[in-house]
Amino acid sequence: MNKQAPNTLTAVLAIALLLSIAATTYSIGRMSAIAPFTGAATTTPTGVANVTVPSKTYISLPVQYIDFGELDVGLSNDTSDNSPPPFVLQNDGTVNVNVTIGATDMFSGTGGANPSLYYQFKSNENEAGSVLNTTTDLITAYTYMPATGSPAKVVSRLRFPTAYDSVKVHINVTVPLDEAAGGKTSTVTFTATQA
Amino acid sequence: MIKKDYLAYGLAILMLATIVVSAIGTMTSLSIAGTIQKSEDKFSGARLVPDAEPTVETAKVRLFVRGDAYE
Repeated sequence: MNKQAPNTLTAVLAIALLLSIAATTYSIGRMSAIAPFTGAATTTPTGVANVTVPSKTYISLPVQYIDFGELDVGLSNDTSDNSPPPFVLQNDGTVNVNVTIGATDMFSGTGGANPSLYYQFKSNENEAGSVLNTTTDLITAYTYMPATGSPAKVVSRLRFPTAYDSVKVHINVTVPLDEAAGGKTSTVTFTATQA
Repeated sequence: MIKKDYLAYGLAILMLATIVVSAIGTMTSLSIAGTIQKSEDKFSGARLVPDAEPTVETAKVRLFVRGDAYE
């Protein structure tokens, strides 16, 4: 026993060592088959990192309330003189967007339902360069406000870089001659889609 | 001397057992990793980055129509 023990022990240790080496080699082979190793030293130690920024449309309305105060029937007011201030529509996403506008009826008098001359909108740049083409991407003349269910373009290709990503949306109202007295409210809906 | 031999054999057997358990663990890990890799491969043609969805914002316009009577 005492004489044989060292040889036996050596054999057991040698088997253990061989098993370990064989298992490690096999493991590395299997791992390489699943996903080749990266990061090993090469003669051209360069790497490529890929980052994908997801397309995201997100608009906000820094100015989302317009209050014209009191108006007599037959009279008009608009936001062109900044009193009250117009809506400000801002692109906070990662892509250029096309935006449509639609609104609920403001008036109930004759001919007051949208679209009508009594309730109109137009758009212009709030920051220079916010659209690619100011002639074709904006609605520069007052246009009848469409109903919510039939929205129309208010701005197209509104850009997203922070320095130039917003437009003003002006509103013009005229109170119909047979409009009933009282408070009037219209909800304006802006819908943005990727340009 | 005999106690030392027993200790040596014990350690050797323990080492063998450790290697066997380690090998089983490694094989299990590789098997799971392979399954995950195959699952990801199935999605390689899928749309990983969705197109931007439409966004809706609402605003309000208010006014008050005076009730003065006209003569």
